[in-house]
This record gives sequence, structure tokens and C-alpha cells, in this order.
Amino acid sequence: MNAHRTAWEQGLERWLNFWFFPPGLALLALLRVGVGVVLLYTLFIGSFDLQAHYSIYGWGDPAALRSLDPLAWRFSILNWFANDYWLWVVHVLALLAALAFVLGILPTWSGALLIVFMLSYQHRNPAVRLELDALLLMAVFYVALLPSGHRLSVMPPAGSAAPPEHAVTRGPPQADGPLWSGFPLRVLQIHLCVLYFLSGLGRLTPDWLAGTMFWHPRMAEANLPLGFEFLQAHPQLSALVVYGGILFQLFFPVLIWMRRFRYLALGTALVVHLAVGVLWGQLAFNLLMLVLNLSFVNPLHVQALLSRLVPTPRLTFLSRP
Amino acid sequence: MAFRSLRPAGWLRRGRRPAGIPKGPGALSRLRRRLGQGQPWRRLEVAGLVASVLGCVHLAAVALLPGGHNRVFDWSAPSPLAYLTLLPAPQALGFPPRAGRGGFLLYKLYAQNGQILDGSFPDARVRPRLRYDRWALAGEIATADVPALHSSIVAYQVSQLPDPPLRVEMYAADWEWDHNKYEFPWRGFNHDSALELRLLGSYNGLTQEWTPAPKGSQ
Repeated sequence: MNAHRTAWEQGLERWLNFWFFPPGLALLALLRVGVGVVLLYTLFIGSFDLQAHYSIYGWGDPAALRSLDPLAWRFSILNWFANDYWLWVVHVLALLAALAFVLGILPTWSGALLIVFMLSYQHRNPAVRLELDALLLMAVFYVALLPSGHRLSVMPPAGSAAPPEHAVTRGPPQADGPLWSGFPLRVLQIHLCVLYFLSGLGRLTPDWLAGTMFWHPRMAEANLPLGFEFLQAHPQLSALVVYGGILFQLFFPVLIWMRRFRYLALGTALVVHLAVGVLWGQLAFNLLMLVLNLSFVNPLHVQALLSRLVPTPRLTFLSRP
Repeated sequence: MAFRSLRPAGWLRRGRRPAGIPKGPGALSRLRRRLGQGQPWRRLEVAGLVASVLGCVHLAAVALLPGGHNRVFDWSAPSPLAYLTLLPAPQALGFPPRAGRGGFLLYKLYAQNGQILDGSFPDARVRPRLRYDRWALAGEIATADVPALHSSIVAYQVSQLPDPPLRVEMYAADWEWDHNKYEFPWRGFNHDSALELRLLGSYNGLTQEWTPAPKGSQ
């Protein structure tokens, strides 16, 4: 009976150790900055078509657009205002919130505010909601739950300064950060794996498996990727690219949890996302995927790298006494 | 001894505070402090178990109902779940997501000087790519049978022109390609896809009215 209890307790401890762990404050800060920069870029680019997409004088009839929204709760701040002046006010506030998120100024609250703004845009005009928007929403949601403002921040919380380099610690080096903050990070990691797997499954269609997706008119219309003609002349190569991409998406969720293959999987993700981002011109989306993949990197490696690249005192000049 | 470790300590204990003991911080503050300070596992087991099980439920919903919609069984869930899973239904990663579809709007514009001009929605010259992707998605969605949307798109397009046109005809355009050409190897697979047009309606520049096309017209 005692042995049974011990096994139960050990199992419980393993289970809890899986979900709760110190994630490394430097890693969380890097995630925040990466997600924030992509979001800031997306909002900035959105400024050029702000009135066309979101104004009541834009191309979409508000009632018709509402009928396209698949979600029943269509909350949007933008529906409160009937003129473009307030639309710009909201947009500037969203840009400021994104900037605060990047700079680490109350990232939890600025993140919550950003979620409200992003949902407002998406429900105001669901016809221009990209996959990038959904991914950003997911990323901001998780990062806002994390204590990501302790490093790389112009306003870190009191008492969050990094230990001095000459500080002597006992035992092997350990990642810093409260135990509870490992939980949102773990959920983010698994969520990312689910995304990859679903995406891989979604590609198991005749068009993709036959490799003919390269010749789809929409791809030709965008005139990308580079080397389109070369791929056309060498169908085996295009099949290799397509099958490689599908296999990567299907097996990434498995390999990433095996310590031996983790950096191999991350390296492949780097190559795939950079290639797709640059060649197909979808840099923002793929950059965000790479940022989210950072969540799998050993926090000690990130900590060591950042301590060399970014001296902490320079970034904490606004810290509270 | 082992099961005692599962007993919640302190913050879940029932009973009243003895008189004379000053009121401490609230339960939430105490929980937060304990979670934040990395207390021994035994004090956190219950909270951790509850949180991790909720996390599993959330992740199961993400896997089975992304965006509140199961694509395999075509089954939808109520909105709260759709929000919690934070994904739109046609989720695709990495490669161009909408490569499988290619609808857009095509319009013929009869100008006052007698010229007939062609235009498309979206404008293929829009840059950078992120802007174009939004317009492309809008164009694709606008090919659906929503007359109110077609009317507002024409009104918007006309408002962007320097001179109002006499007449505008709007078509839903879809790239259709010959699936019989699948063969291996696909050497020199030519993209001689056909552009199928479907008349959505017409705009009269004189009366400034939009007239939807009758059903079945081409």
C-alpha cells in the first residue's frame, strides 16, 4: 500500500513538474518583444487601409459584414463610433498599446488591451481576418499571462533585477522565474504543436500530395516563390519540397519533445519558415511562428545569450526604486 | 503520509479565524504569493492539478474544435469555446493559406468618354504582401452571394474614381483548372486555367442604383 502511494505521489509530482517550472525570464521577455514587434508591424501596415476596411464609409456594408462573422459574440469597440476621427483615435491607442507591450510597460495589462483591440478589428470586418490575426491573438493571450516584463523592459517590476554576473550560485545553473509561469508557456507549446499537426493534416489533400499546388493560379498571380520556373521544370524537386513540408508539420509535434531531436526540429522550423516567409512574401506570419518556436528553446541558453548581447542595466533605467 | 500531501494547506482550510489574530491578506493574494514564491509542491498540488486539468481541457478543445468548428465532422461549438480556442476554422500554417481557392471580383467599367475599362478587387498592385493578403481575402469573400456587400463594394469603388462611370458590371471570378492533367512527372505542367465569370449585378451611374443579377445568369 505504501509503495502504491509512493508511485501515485511520484506520478503526481512528475505531472506537476511537467506543467509548472521556472521558464526563464529572459526567454519570456524575448517572446514578448518578438510577438509585440510583429503585432506592431501588422497594426502599422493596417493603418494604410484603415478607413477602407473598418470605416462605415469603407467598402463593406456593416450589416452584410456582420452576417459573415462566424462568431456569435461580435463585440467591437469600432462599432461605437460613426466617424473616422474616432476610428483613428482607437487605432493610435492600439499602436500605443502594442508599443507598450514591446517595451515591457505593464505587459499583462497592455496585452489584455491589445486583445480587446484585435477582437474589435476582427469583428468590425471579419472579411479581412487573416490567419496571422488569429495567431497573434493566441500569442498575445499566452504572453500576457506570463511575467514577461522582468527583462528587456523599460519599466520592470520592483525587485526584478537580474543577479549580477559575479554572483556565486550553488549547484548547476537554473532558469529563473516563478514556478506558476511555466504553465502558460507549456500550454502555448502544446497549442503550437496542435497547430502544426492540424496544418499538416490539412495538407493531406490531392492538390498538395500531387505537388500541383505550385501551379495554382493564385500562386502564379502572386509571382512567387522565386525559382518558380525552376521548380516547374523539376517536378521531383517540387514534390520533395511539398512532402518535406508536410512531413515536417506532422512530425514536429513529436520530435520537439525528444531532447535529442529538439534543436534539429527547431533548426528545420527555422529553415522552413524563413524559406516560406521570404519566398512567398509572408514574412510576418512566419516570423511570428519562429518567435513562438522560441518557447521550446532551453531558457538557460537564451539567458546566457541575452546577458552577453544586452547588458541589463541599460534597459532598466525607468525601473521603480 | 503520502496522501496527506494532497490535502490543501491553509488557504482551503475551513474554519473561522480565532479572535485576536489580525486579518491577513486575502485568499487571492495568499495564493498568488505562494504560487509566486515557489513553495514546496505539497502546498500547491490541488491548485496545480486543477489548473493542469483545465489546461488539458483547453488544449483538447483546441485540437478538436479549432475556432469552435470541427472540420472533419462539420460540427460547431458555442461562442465561448470558439473564443477560448482562438483559431479560425480554416487554419493553415506556413504555405500560402488560401492557395486552394482563388476567387476575386472583376468589374467592367463604362466610362463617360466611351472607354471600357477592366478592374479587379483586390488590386493586384497593392504592396506590401500583408496588405494584399487582406484585400485578396476580402475579394474572395465578396464572391459569395451577398448582394448588400456587392452594392457597397461598387459604391466604394465608384467613390474612388475621379469621374463617375456610366455603368459598372461586376463579376465573381474563379480560377478553374483542368484536374485531368494530373500525371507524373508533371513536366511543363502549364497553367492554362480558365477564368470562370459569374455576373453579380450592375450599377447604373445615372440613377446610382445597384441591380443584382437574376439567379443563374452568366
